[in-house]
Amino acid sequence: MTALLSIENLSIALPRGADREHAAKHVSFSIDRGEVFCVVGESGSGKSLTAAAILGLLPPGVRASAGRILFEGQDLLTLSLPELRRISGKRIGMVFQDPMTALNPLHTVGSQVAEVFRIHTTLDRAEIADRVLDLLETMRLPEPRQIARAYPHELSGGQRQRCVIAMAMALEPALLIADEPTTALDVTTQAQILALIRDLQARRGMGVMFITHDFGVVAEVATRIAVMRQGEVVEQGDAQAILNQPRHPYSQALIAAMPALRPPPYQPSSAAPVLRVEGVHKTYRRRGRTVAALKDVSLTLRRGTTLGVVGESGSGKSTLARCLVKLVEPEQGAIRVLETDITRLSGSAWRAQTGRIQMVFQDPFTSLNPRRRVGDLVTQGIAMRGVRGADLKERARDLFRLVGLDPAAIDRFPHEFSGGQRQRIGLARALALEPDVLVADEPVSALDLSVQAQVLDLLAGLRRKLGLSMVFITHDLRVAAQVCDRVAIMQRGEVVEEGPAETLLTAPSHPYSRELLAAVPGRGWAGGA
Amino acid sequence: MRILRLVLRRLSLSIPCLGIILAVLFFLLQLAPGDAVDALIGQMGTSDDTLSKLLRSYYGLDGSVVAQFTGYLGRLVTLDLGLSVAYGTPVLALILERLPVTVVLMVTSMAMAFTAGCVVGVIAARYVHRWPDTIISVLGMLVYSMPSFWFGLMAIVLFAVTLGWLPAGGISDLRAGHTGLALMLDMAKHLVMPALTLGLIFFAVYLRVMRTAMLEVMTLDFMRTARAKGLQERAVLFRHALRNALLPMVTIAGLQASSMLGGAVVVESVFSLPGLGRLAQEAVVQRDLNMLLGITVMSSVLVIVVNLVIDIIYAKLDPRIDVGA
Amino acid sequence: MTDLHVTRRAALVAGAGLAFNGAPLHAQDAPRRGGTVTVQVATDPRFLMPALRGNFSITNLAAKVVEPLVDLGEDGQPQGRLATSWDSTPDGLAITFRLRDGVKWHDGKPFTAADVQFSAMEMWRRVQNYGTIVFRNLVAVDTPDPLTAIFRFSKPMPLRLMLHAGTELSYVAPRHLYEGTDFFANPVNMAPIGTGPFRFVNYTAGQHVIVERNPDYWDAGKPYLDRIITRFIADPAGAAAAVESGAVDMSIFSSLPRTDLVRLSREARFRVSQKGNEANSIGNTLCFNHRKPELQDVRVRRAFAHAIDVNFYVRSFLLGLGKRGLGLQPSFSEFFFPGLTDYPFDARKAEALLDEAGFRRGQGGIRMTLRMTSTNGDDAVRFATFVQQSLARVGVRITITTYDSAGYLANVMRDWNFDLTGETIGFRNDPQISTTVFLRSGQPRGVPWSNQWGWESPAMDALIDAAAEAVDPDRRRALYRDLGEMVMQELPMWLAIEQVYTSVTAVKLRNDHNNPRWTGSHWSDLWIAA
Repeated sequence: MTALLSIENLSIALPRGADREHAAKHVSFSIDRGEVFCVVGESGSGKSLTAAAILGLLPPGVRASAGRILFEGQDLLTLSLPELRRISGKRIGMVFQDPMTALNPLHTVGSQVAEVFRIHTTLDRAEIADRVLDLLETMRLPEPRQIARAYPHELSGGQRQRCVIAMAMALEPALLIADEPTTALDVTTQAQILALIRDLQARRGMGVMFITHDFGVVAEVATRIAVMRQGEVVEQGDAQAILNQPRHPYSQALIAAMPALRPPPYQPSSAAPVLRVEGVHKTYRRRGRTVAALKDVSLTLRRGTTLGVVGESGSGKSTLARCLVKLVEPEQGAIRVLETDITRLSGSAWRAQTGRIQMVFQDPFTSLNPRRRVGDLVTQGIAMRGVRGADLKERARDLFRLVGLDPAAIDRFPHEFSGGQRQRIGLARALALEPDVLVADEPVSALDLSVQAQVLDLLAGLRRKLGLSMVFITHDLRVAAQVCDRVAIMQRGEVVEEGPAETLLTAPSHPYSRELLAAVPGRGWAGGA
Repeated sequence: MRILRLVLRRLSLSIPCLGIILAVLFFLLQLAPGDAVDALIGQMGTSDDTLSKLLRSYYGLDGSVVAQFTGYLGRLVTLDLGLSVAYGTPVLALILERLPVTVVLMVTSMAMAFTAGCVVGVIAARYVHRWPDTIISVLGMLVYSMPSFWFGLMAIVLFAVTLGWLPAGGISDLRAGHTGLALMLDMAKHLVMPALTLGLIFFAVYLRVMRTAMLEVMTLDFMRTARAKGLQERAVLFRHALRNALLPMVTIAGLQASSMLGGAVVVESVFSLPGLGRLAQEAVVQRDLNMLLGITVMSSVLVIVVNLVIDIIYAKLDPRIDVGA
Repeated sequence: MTDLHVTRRAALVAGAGLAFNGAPLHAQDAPRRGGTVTVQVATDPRFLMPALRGNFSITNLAAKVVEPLVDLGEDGQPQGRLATSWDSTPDGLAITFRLRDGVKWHDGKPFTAADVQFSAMEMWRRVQNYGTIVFRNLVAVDTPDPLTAIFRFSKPMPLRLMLHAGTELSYVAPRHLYEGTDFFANPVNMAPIGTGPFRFVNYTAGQHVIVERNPDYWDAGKPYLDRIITRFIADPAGAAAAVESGAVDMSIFSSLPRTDLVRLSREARFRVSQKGNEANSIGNTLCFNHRKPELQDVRVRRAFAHAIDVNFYVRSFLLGLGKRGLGLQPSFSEFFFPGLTDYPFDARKAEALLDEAGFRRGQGGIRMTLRMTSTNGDDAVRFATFVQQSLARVGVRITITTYDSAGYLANVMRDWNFDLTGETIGFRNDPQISTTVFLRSGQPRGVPWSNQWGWESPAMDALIDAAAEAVDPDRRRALYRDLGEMVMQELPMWLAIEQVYTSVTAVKLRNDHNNPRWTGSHWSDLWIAA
């Protein structure tokens, strides 16, 4: 029996002026019916463009320059666009990364699902409506009738992704291509979606091409794996074999970069508390509805330790971070840095104290002013304290050395740096004022796995060297396990459980903590360190 | 219900705004040298002392500025816009006589500019960076940078003087004395060139907005989803891209509505159309305060109504808009 | 440079030719009845009762409906309309008009001497602009019978003045519709009822006036036309297009761009001519604020006149559609006197006069700096700019400020906030109507187009007053000659240019422009050739 999809020697040429010639070079692999084939790689590995090439969805200027894509014996690269579209959606379904943007915001999801039937079948309106409802039910969506009538913005991320999958699955395609389908989702939602895809695949016996950067996810779903790096498949084979005994050094490095879910042994600290959050409440009012973002949150951070705040979107963890740097004023409660309650400080008094608590932001691309030299950005706070000229430059160079950047680079602009480097600049900026407390809001979640590992290493090093006290906000339990002494788990504005990371990540007591832990992909796999 | 809330909220914001505009305009006009009687005498060609005094008291221009303004506001509440000094007739009657031409001119030119801008913008976006796009962009730039009256004049020279296809100006052929349907057709014929001229400037704006909007929408993820579903390219464009790209267009249309009144002044005078724009221009020269304030009230109402309609259209187009917030 | 010169020369030739070759052709064939004539004018006077407001843009529209006692005939001499004959007592204190019999108002009521009496006493004398000046000394109008009106004056009234002023000011309003009403609020102002050859049909503000044939007109068989439509098209280019596309048959009062006038004059379809406008002409004057010390020296004023090359201006900027002025009245007037003292263009002489007056060139070659105030009309701004550039050459720096009509009146006439102004003076057939008021002292402050210049000369005042009451035509003429010479000597103001309006007429029209104030007359004999 021939393979369902067989990619032979595929090369994808990038337009002139791109950073390299090919997005994919001599890529070959095949996918059979009934298997989940994972293509793993970091950003820029060419995995997404390879998937896009299958359905002719390459962006303008990018084209498949060599090779064949055989689907059910037919070379898709030789088909005209209209011919290809007759296969798309019918024989091959596709699911994309971001359910927020994958749906047209102006049409109801029902009509968008129905569109697949309208394109490829001759069913009448009523039949289509029935099929849509059936489909949504199959996707385990509650109240399918309401969902069908809803617009995308009225649904949660998980519900939207189920709708996107429903579209892809509507005509029971032979092949499902899923491009990072769970990356934008919360961990518990991710677990549900992965379960859904696995389940559908098993019931319908279709082939799945699953693209991801996350080895945890790979461990959950893959039957076979191809690892890609810079447009080339460096290793492919049986999932278990590669996960447990990767042969190629790159695969080994990638797997090694996976933070282990097992935290190091807890070392209790008896140092004095440097930050105390006491009974903080914050409520948002929107359209007459009130949302309690923080409900009676109390936490303590001791000097020289790291407190992880873990939660899914909407749990209130980011609001908490904002309260800590006074971007948001809580209605009730106190936030004491050493003995000062910063919630009671006036604007000018706070500005005089900003050095005491500093923040590192999630997105390294938007948090740096693109028009200023990075050296100036880093030493802005010091300059405000009267340091000038050569002293200032020297401080900038010191800080760059501290975060592992070339001190000579202080005169460059942010866009000349990679994401990981920018996050280091953000860190240097936060450290410049030698804060008592560092608040890091998802500092590594936008980074590739290998870069993430480097930044986490850096943080660990700095902690040892400077005795940093840090509040570390994250959604990723693996990351939390690596950097935190203690962890607080938040759900709907409340801290449901707080304790040593070791205890919490091995034997959580609160049901939600248990659920969260159970949802971590690849939990059963011993991979990583 | 959603729409009703929107209407009420808009109106509650508009009324104080209108009051401020009127006050500013009223006192600003006091700063202009000379009053309506000066302007009237300027046109009469001569006058003497007693006649000037007589005219000033007749038109109520001899009271204090504040008294004149409060008097005006008091009458406005009862929808009395006062008497035009320049014409000696009620302002409301004059405005209502002129309003239809301006409204028809604005609506047709806006509709033409909008439709043409959409179509050509889509074509430009579809063939981006290829020759149709280049030609369209160059033409658009050309149209945008030319003064509107120039197009009007060139159109008159070509279509009215040289070819004799369309009338050179005015709103109807008085000699023919048409009535009923024939009159309507005749008026439509007279409005073709003015509407095209006025529309042309705005067309260039719409074209550019549409092209940009389409290009932006075409990069969005849901376009890829639509293609992956198996939708053919044309359907992708029309069913998914177009409606999304219309959102910024509708916003621009709302903003343009007010500036259109300004453009209407020029076009109305080139084509000697009896519209509100020209009336406003005359009112300034004639220091016809009542008339100017009346036109301001009326055009504010017009702009408010247009924006309301635009908001309703927008709310209909985009389910994400929460009109109650 | 050379090209420009050639172009100007070509324009000059064309412009000079235009006043002559475009003279209307008076066909010998019999008048044809019927048809509509469409006329374009730039401004809507927004008022249609000439008995209350004397202005040629009103008479142009209303003289078809409302009639005066007298108008001008083809020979330029007074011709009876509502009056059939007139005479004056030797002392000039009473002027008797015999009125036309069998004349009816458009509403059917008979026209009588009572209407004349009412119009003269209540309207012309009291509220009509110009009328308040000309009829200042009118004490009564006696009506011994329904067809006789005797005007009685407290001071002598020259008959010629009465008749010539009468062509502009003696429009008779229906007493039965005005008596006891607030004149300016009377709806008849906007929908006139008169005795004329046409009946008012419709006025739409800013758009058009329509009048139609009066079948009961006293001059049996007239008018020839069915309708006259007058359209207000303010934009000169739009008006030119309307003429060229045939949408209008006639454009009057120089409403088209000068270049279009020159161009159309070469087309066989149109007659472009100044004929028929002579009595309603205008002059560009340079008026001085005599309160300004520099301008009190007559040598300075004479120097200014010498410094400005009027002939060059007329050729180059007016494309020949104008003429150098002299004295007080335009050259076709019987009160124009060639041979008065003049100040031909001579920059060197101008400089010498300024030196002599003690204004030597100082820093940057500047002798003095003056403000010239102007209206924002194209013609006025062009003239002001030319004055500015001419005087700059002799070391006088001029700064120009422009205002719209209302702003100009407030600044110049009321606030006296100017040094120089390029005032436009409208000629009204007789110096007494609109000209001497520019020179007579004692005008109340703020009255537009009167002596607001601060000019006071007892000798000139005496001459003006004597002429105003001079009943004997020859003596009257001699007095105005003396006044003209005195004005040229003293130069309280300087009539630099006289301009006659230009009309563009489709060649199919007959009997058009057949009297000196044709645009403001009855048009009952106008007809359209097949």
